[in-house]
Amino acid sequence: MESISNPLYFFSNLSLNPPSCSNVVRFIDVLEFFFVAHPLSGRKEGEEHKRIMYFHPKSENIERQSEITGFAEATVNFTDNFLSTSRRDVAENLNDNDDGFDFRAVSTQRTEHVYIRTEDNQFMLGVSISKQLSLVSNYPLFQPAIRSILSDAYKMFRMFFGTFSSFIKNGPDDIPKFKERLDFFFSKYIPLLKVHKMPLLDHLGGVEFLRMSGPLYLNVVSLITELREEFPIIEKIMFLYQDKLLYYQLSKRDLPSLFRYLTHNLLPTTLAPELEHSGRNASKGRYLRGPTDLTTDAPLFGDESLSVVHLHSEQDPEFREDLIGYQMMVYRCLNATVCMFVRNDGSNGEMGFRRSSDSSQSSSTRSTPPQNGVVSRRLLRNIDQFLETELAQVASKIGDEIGDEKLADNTDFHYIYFNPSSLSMTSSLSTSPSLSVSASGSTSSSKVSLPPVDVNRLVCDTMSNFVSDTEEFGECFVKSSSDWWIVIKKVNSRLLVLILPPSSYTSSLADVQSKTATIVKSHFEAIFFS
Amino acid sequence: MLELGAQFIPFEPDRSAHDGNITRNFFDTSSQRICTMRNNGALGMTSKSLQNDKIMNVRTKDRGEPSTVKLSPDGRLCAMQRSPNTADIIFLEKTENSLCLELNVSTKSKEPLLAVEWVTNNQLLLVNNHSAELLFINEDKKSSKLIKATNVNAAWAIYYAPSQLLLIANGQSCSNLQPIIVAHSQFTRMKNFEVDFGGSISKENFLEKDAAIATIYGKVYVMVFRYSNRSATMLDLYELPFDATTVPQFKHSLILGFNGGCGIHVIDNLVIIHHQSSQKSLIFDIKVSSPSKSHSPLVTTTIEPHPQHQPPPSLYTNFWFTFLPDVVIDSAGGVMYSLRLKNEKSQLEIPEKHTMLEYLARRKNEKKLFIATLLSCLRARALSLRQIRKVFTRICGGEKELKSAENASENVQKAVMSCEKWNPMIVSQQEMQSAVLIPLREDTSLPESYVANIMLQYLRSLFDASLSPEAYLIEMVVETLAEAGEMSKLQQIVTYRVINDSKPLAFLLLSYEARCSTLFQSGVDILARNKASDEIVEVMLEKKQIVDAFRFIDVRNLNEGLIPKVVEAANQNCYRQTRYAIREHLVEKKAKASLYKSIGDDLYTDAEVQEANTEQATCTLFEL
Repeated sequence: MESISNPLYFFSNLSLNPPSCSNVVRFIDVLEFFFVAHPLSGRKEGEEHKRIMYFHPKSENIERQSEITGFAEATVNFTDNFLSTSRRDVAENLNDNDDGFDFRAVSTQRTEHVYIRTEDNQFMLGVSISKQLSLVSNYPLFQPAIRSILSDAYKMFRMFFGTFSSFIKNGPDDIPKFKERLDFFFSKYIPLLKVHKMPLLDHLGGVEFLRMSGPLYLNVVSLITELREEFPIIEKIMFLYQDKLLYYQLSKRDLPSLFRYLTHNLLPTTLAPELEHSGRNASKGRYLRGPTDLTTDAPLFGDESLSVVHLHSEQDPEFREDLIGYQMMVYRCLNATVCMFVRNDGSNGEMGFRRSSDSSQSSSTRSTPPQNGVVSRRLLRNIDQFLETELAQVASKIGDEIGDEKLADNTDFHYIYFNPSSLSMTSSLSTSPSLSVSASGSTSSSKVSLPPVDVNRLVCDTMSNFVSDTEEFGECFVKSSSDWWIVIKKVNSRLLVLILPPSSYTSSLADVQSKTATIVKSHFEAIFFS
Repeated sequence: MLELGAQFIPFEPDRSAHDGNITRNFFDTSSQRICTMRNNGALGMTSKSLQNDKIMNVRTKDRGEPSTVKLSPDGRLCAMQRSPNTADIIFLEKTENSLCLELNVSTKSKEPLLAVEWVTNNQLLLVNNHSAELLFINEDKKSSKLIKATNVNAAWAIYYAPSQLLLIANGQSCSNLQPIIVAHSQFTRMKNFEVDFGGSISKENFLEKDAAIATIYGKVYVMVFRYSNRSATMLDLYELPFDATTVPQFKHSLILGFNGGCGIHVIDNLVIIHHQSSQKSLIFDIKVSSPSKSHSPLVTTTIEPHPQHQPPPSLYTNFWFTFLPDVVIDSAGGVMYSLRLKNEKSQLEIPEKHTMLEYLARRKNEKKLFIATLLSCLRARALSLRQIRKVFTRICGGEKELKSAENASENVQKAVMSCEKWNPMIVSQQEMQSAVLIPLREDTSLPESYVANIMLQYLRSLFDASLSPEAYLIEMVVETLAEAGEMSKLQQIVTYRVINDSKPLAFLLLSYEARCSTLFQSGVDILARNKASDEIVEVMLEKKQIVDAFRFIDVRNLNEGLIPKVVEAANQNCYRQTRYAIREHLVEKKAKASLYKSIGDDLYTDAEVQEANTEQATCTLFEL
């Protein structure tokens, strides 16, 4: 029943087993429950269970579900009383960044709960992690990371289907539909979700940029500028090479979710066909989604129509919650991926979604409009012609340069680098699942073993206790009981976490300081990290 | 787009008068001179050229009507063919008022001559059916000597003086061509090749008049008319290699689209075909990209006479003779004209702007016109960014194909042939800035983002050509991007270090902090890469990062002269506790430098000390 036009089509294709001895953990292995609730729907006595929109695990009986969601609601309402107005301002400020939602965390002996409220506090999402299970899985609990995982889940849903409120704005009759949609999404999302054993990575949630020389980068910029000039209908754009980002023109708020979807879900599924067809027309670009036959002018229906994503508008931060539906075109050629977004015109984003969902779920009885969205075969064809040779040229140039630099960087330490203003993040501890075949592999070539769970926990604790979120500068050296050293530097808002394994060269603080200076000099020389 | 007669020279037209006086004119393609013979030279021979004003006037014996008149490159000797088998050398300079001295030469076999050509000032080439012979003419002794001879099998022969190239046709239907280089008193045979001239029963043989040789964009081509009964005539271009081992290749085919008589010119690397009956001229540029080897005319136009000719001469007449490269001879009017291109009209004649600009970029000495046209096209937004980039790439001198073509003859080992080099137009960065980019930026009617994109395209062309952009250009790009509000683009460009680091750039970026906070980071990065530690300290103090400034100074072991400045900043901005920490830090370092002594004590006012004392007295110490 799953249509190819459905954005989640590719979720189902991923293998479920996590790589052995990896640095990720399956989320369901530590998860106790996850829910989406709409408190307003369960106001009447005896009908409390109606507030539950989605609950995982489904096997849980309805009383327990009501209990859990009820507890969450009560906690939120109760603690509301204690929030000073200044605290509330902070919460709203966080909202402005769109990264933080109003949240509550409850820690019990057995579990760690996090609740967030979204969309004018109408909806509540909650998650509970079992302390027992996380111990077994070697997953250090870090509350901010769980919060980020929860909000990421919400944002991912919102990106594909729009806001929660858009589903039920016509009244309670729409609730079954909403539930169906939530079930459709989260039943796939949650089992496939993997979280890092270094929770800081999930918390920071950046994107990985590809390093390359300036002149070559200008080729990418100019190609995209040319493309946008030729096709003004394209409003937003992203350019990736392999699984790394090179260039984007879209709101930073959407960047992590989109990037995650592309690199974790969409692109890995394309790798297999590419390997199969290698040799044959290797430099020919193609669309990853949408129609395969571009020679006709037949309107795009059902399977052939492009998926719609809901993105923030780039220009005016005033309408920060306004999501606009965009049709997504993904064009790929020689490891380079161009992701183009065209406003789904003629209807608002929600209607666009309805249509595509209808066509994907069940054949609608409504008279179908002539075509889903504004993207036509003609447009796809024209873009294909425009990009074909130039993109292949740029991509092969990039390939050459990346290939040149492919000397395994033998690091004897672990690191996390994050720049909040560009969202750029690199780490020796992150993984890009399934793309590792084609990825340059510079991240996995580290000689040192992964840090033990207590070091990971210590990093998180140090971050939350000794490094201020608001300060732009800071420095912190910590030695773990197992003789690992943790160095956290914050310079000009950028964060660098170094995790040094026990060694004879790092016996004293002075040693560690000089070692840090050496690492910064050799690996982060272009960046100001005094 | 074509103008007739900017240069011209009149001559006495052919006539056979009643009084028995005969006037005959000959055009020598090698020396580009027209020779007028009156009564076969007995009444005088005059030779004129468009290139110089020197008119030669001599008298020779009347020994019958010549069929060819050829002047040596220095104009001192003249070869004349008055009988089929021999040629006469006439020594022009030695006689003032009397008749010229003559010397009769022929080939060994005394067979009818096919070609008589001057190779150098004193070497004469004679070609007959079976051999090509090179004679040395001794001007003083008035004698000739055979230098070199080679056996050939020739149906006809043509000679291309610029490359000292002799082209001999032989074989069945004469379509096998044998190029021979006559240089250094040697004959060097190149690879022979077969041409397709559309032979048929009605047209059995390939004729001399259907072939021509010209240098186009630094390569020598043999041009061959190919007739067809079904379709229109084509002009095929065969490229001759520079060495003797490569076979000449069919490279281009020009679609003429008509049948019937026509004239051919090659001016400024353009092939121009004049069609008499339709009174049209077709201009072909083989560099205009074409999916196949066939080219359609770039421009179809009509020749216009130069306004100095009043009344205007009639054009495309039966009396017109055209000679390569650009000579038109009106045999009835008795005028020799040159034809020239009027490139300033190309804007009107070539509708597609990109093609037009590329066309202009390939013309000789049209840089001014090109730059002006480029600017007007950019102002009118007549080009897409991709086209702009291609034009920029061409004029940066970055196109590899051009570079290699330019040096083709030098690269080839054992090059035996030479020809005029073609140098593509190069526009320097200064010229681009002053004549294009700055005017664009100052044009308020254009959106800044458009101008910024143009500059980025230019920057890319420079990089592609491995040229390093000048600092001024980079500054302008950054400023224009900032004016356009393309902060995110600017930031990504700076992050990837598309533009070179420099301190002024760093400060420029720092000044944009208010509009894009990430540019601040980039600015500091650049300062750090430039080892501009003092400036970084200043920036940190500006941002009130006093403690970190101290840390930075410590880590880098910086000049201690900065300390007072930092202390001053600390006094202004820091809490008392922080200042205390700073003071302690300084005291600790005192052992190393006495400089701080005076500074550390200034940190507090008496009131503050008082306040601190009170605070300490009233605070409670919690001990668990």
